[in-house]
Amino acid sequence: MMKKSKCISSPPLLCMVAGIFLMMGIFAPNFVSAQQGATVTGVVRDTEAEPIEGVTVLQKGTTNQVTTDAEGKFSIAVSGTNGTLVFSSVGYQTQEVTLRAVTTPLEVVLMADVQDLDEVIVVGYGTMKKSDLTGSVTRVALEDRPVPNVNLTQALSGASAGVNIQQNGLAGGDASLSIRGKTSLSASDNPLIVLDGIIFNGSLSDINVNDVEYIDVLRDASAAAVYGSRSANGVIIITTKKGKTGAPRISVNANYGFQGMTNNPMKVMNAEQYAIRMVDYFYQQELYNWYRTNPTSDAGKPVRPDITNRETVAARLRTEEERQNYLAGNEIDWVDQVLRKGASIANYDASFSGASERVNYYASGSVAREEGILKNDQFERYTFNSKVDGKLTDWLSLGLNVNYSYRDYSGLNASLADARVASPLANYDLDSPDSYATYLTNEGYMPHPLGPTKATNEDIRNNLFFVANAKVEVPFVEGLTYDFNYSNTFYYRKNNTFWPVSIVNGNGNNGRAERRPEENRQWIFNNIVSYNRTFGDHDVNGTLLYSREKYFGQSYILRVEGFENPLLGFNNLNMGTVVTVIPPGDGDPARAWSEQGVSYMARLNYQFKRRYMITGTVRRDGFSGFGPDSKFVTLPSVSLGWVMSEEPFWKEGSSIYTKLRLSYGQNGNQGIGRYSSFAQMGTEYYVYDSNTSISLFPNRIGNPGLRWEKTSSVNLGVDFGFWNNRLAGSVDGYLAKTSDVLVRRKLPGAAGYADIWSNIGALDNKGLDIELRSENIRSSQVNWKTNVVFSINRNKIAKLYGGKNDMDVGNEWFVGEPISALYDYEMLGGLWTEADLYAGRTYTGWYPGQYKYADLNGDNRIDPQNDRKIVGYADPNYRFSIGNTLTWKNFSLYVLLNSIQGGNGYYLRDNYTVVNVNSRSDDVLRMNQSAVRPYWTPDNGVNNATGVYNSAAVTSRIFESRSFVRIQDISLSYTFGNELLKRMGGISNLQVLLSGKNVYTWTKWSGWDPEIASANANYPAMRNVSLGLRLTL
Amino acid sequence: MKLKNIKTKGALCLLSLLMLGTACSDMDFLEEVPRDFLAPQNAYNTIEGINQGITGLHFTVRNDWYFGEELQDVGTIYKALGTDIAFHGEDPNSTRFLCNYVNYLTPSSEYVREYWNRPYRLVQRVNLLVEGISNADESLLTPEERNAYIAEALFFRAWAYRHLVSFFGDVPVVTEAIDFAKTDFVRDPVSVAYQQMEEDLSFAVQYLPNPGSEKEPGRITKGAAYHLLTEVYLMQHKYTEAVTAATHVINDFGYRLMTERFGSNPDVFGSGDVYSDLFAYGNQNLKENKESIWVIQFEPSTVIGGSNNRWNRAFAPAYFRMGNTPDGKPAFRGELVNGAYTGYSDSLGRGVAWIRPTNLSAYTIWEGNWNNDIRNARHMIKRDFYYDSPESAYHGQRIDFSKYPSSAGRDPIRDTCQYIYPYFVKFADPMHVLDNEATSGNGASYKDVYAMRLAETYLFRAEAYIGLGELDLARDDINTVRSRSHAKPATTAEIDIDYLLDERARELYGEDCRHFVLRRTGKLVERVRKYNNNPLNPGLNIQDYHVLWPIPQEQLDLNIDQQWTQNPGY
Repeated sequence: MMKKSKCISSPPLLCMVAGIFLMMGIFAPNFVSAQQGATVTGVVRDTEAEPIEGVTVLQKGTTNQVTTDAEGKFSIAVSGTNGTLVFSSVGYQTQEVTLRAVTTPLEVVLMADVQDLDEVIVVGYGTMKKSDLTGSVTRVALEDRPVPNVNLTQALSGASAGVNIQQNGLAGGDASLSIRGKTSLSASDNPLIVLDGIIFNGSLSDINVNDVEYIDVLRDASAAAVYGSRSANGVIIITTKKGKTGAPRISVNANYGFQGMTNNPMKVMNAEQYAIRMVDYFYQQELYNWYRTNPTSDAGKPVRPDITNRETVAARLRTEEERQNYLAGNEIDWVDQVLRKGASIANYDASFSGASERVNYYASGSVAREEGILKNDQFERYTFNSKVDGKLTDWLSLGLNVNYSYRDYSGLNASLADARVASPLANYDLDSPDSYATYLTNEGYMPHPLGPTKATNEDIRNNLFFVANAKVEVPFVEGLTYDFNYSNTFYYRKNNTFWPVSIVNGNGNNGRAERRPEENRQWIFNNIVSYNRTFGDHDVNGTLLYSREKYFGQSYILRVEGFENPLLGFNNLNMGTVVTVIPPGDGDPARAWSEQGVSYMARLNYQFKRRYMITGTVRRDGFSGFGPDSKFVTLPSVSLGWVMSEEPFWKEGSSIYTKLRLSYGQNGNQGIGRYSSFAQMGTEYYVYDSNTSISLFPNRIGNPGLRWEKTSSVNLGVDFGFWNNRLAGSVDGYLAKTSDVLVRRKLPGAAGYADIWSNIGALDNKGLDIELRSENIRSSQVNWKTNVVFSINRNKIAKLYGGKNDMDVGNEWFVGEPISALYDYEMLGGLWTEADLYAGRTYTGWYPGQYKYADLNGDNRIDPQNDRKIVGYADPNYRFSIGNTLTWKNFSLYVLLNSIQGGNGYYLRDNYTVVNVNSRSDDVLRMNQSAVRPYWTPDNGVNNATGVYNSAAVTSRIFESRSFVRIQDISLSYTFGNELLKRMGGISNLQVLLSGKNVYTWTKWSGWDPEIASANANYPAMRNVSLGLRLTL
Repeated sequence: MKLKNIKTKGALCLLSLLMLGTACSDMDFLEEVPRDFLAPQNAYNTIEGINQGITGLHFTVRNDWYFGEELQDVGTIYKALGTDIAFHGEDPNSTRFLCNYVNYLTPSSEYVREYWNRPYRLVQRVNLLVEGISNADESLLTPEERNAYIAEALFFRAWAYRHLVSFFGDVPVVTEAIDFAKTDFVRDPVSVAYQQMEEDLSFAVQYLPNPGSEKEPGRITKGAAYHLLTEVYLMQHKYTEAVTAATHVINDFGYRLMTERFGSNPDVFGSGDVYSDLFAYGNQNLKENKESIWVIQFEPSTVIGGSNNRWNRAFAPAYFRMGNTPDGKPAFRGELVNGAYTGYSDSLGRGVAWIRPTNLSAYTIWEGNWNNDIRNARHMIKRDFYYDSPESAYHGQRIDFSKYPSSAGRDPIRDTCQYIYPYFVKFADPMHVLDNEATSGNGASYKDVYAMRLAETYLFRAEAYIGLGELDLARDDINTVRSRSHAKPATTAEIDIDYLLDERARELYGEDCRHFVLRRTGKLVERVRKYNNNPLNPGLNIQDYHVLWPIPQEQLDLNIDQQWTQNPGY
């Protein structure tokens, strides 16, 4: 039998590309002749040349069958002539081989299913076959993403619709992660992370990416409902690898590479621009004084000094040292000085695993080293992971899973923020680059950008996470099991720093040492009873949970100053004379804390004929952080599934699979942190004469009524697979309504507090997630798969306080508008010109070189009361990513394109400090400025940035679209063929890969990376290239 | 015993959990117990807590008005900038520092917001503390002690409202602790605020300790409360009451103007005198200093709780930036620290020329008494600066910008507004650069600062007498102050409100809040136009409506349940 290629009705984008390949035959059939009654032997492997154990080999039309052994080998006595062998195994496409002529041993390659609907998905306190799911769950198999990643969040980018990753530019830095839009105004957006079935409060950087088998993303309320209170922001379930039956496996991965800046570098003024700006600053002051006389023509207009005269320019510089350097033509590029050339990244890990009938084990170790592109920014990580499961008796299994990670972030990185503002004319001895001043040119605004690198710092984070579990398959009652698991996370961080007297922080009082130990611990236990049974056409699956957890810790900062002898730094604090203890964080007085949670959950899943399925879940959660009368919340959910393609009316033998899913559920959000309902007192040191005294004052207002934020949502989804899943995917639409929204609401100044945690109003979210996976070409030589992910989300505030004037300008919250609405003056584009002034067209007090704003109420003045409006939204319009994997013979190319798009006023962010030279009043004269846009002068025709001196009565933020398309990942790999491996002996798989990350970005965002969190980013995005090796013995 | 209980209970819990039971209550388990912070409910349940609460008010004032990590200039601007006595020297035509009223005083200005938020933060702290003290158990305090604590707290509330009323006019008068999201504040007429201030201070003068009996230096006494009460009366033009209140300060508590030298006499700038002693390091808290009424407490950071002020930074010229001598050598070597010259002199510190005197305060007011008024002595107003440049032929000579060749490209505005100008040495802290010698302490000083001084009380009373038409009595009070400084006595004919304002500038330059003084005497706009000689923006573009500042836009925006009218003009 010969398989035929079929045109795939994929989205237009794919179709075009796909069309090119459609002519090609996809599958090369094997023709084998068999002698009558002969024995056929052979081996079955997967596409990566791994032998497959347990493949059923059946002679078609007979009951004659065998299975392959651990090495994938089989031997079958064939009866009759022209027999056909059928090879089938779970997770692989069934293949038929017609026997004509024998060329034994037979080599059979089985293709994995693109989307295996029988794969087992983790649904929280249990697993379920994907085909039985009623909620919206996506699995990300890391095997499919052949890119070396140090951090798991990087690995997730573009992986699933609705999963949003925001990059971080520091070595070992955690990217931020969110799922499906904002449900909350100010409570946390972080999804819940579950590691091997246990809620994980550690950092994703604690996990070695290569230990992860797959990640399941629970997106809708019903899927997430099992995690109730924690799941309003979605759930990410990480499952680590475990041993597989067969010979023990040893596998080794190694990657080495380099990183540098992306293609959007930082632009700051060079010496010439820096110096001339000073001339213009003062010239424009004069000019504005003249403008204020309301001239009607150029007569009497001050003349710009001659900037070609270096003496004139030099005279305007602030310090003698800058004047001398300017005249001598000395110049230094500070951004260049803080960047590290050839920053390297390396990542090595090894694992061994195996399984026998009773025991299953997996153990791994890894080392990762990463250098950031800022000097002295580095990261080192060691992880150890072991997982053992044993089946002690027929009814009892025990397991232990231990994860340990050691992360070392030691060293303070050079400051890009300071480099951006540092004077290019400051004295700097290039021959001895270690010589430096605390403040360049004695200017307090210009700390030496390399200053932090002179501090001694050790920042080491240890995380130990273990889970012990016991599973009892209750005898006498078939299908009833009881699971108990207990987990503990110990986190300890030491972060010690010594700033010598020569740098900022240390220069105040003869050096400063700080020790900031932080330790916390979490325990959770879960009791799970589940019942799983099939009665004829009926499948029943029930789960009951009772769980408790406690999370507690302590931290503080011990600061010692006044070192008479700095030699021993933070290791001998007795050398210092002034000892103070300060709270660890801004607004976080917690030096010792604990929080507790209790959960009950019941879930029942029922299926009829594997066609109709219903899942109901009720969860009741208690969290200590809410007010005394509102600790508990009850969250129900129900979901329905219908596999349409299993219906008798559907065409028999169709290659189409369709399932409809409908769910309704409630989730809660507790992401406000502990003690939020309490009013809190703060303390500070004070002194009467020279007697130290403690002062006490309220610094946070409490809200004892603080209660759960609840989100109710409806999700309608369809899963489909066409042509035996060559095109598969899912489409999910959802509506969500959040009530009692937790907000950190700003208060009017007269209240005496900045803000208060409150529950207010309601918020609506709606959106669409689309995922498509297609196998465009499938043949033994060439294979091309495409994975497209698209998501769009809209939210709006449905209700605020309920008053008649229901908007909150101060917080930028408006009923009927998205949470991310931006309220400001409307820029009309362009600047006032001298012609406008002379003709009297400017408003009173407005002059050339200032932005034009819309006068909304037409009173010829621009004021905050009447002339602001919603000018856009910070949220994205939509996101998409396209991953392509092209395999030819032993080569494989993977390209991931990732994009977040604005348009129509979406995805805006203020970029004022970067695009406009007049960053903040006269700061423009005190420090270097960015040079993304030239500033206005009366004669240079610039129409998108103000003058360098600009005394506008009001200024708006300058919103720019952050839309971008990025080549996120490219990797090219080569897998060594079996022949070659045989000769090398003992190696079952060997792969080399070359990959790049953040390869190229297209964006109109001015300067720097559109995705890096802050417009004023103090660290750049990184681009890297690395070479990797994967070896399995 | 208790521990054992917990352990037993814990074991039971575990057992019950294993058995899937819930014997130990979830509610007990979920109880949230603050471990490391106090809450308003328990903070003031001890005498120590109440004392710390009072210290909290002192801390707030020092932090928000005398140093302040954030927008540190908030505490200095309103002392002098934007008035008749000073303009911003570093960049006289910038958009900051009240260089131009129209550009600076806008509802969106972060400074305006701070001038609004800070007093209200203090008010809230007072209100909560007063509530706490009032509810404290009877066994804790005698009625007298309770009243004394409340009196000290209420003093701060009046002090805060005096700021609010002067800047903004009608403001909400909040006298209860706020414990919910209040967004319906109403602007009360100024009369309500004044009445509250009078009530609070009347209570304060009754129950506060006499000067000398306060528990710690820097704590509030009857004297300080009467002094503030005087000012509150002056703001309302209640002159008779003002005279009475001021007279209490002057007569009842043993205060007197210092007329003989006292304390430490470093004499860094040459021959000293009693006026310079008033401002010498360490002299403000001295028992023998009978002129101090309320002193803000500073201490070097070698003492825990110590903090610095930025008077030196704000008021001193940025001499170290002036560049070269006329023959092209660096003008200042500065101190030798770690083998390198720093460019800074430890007697001048590191100024940044925020507050540069106008011709009025630097020259005009001294005319006629140039050589005899010790407030204008060479060691009190440093007018001559000298090169410190051994390589140069000009080493040791007085700095004179006329000596520079035209090729030096000097800018007269920067030379005379930023680098060198008459420097009121009372803000200097010569030889006390305890922190970071290499940058001359960054302009920080650890000298205690007068918040109230008896000389001002005399001038308060004189102002009241002028208001009452009692010019002879006004003259006598003014002359009491003048005679201590060897200034020629004023004659009755000379006395008017302008003379008083000049005298305040002579005696209290940079110590009082000039904005309040000019506003209550109705002289702000007139005198700014007349005397503020900012070379790039004379008169600072002040408009008539600037007598009241704008309500911060944030307050208007966030007070969503009550619409306010913005002050006129904005």
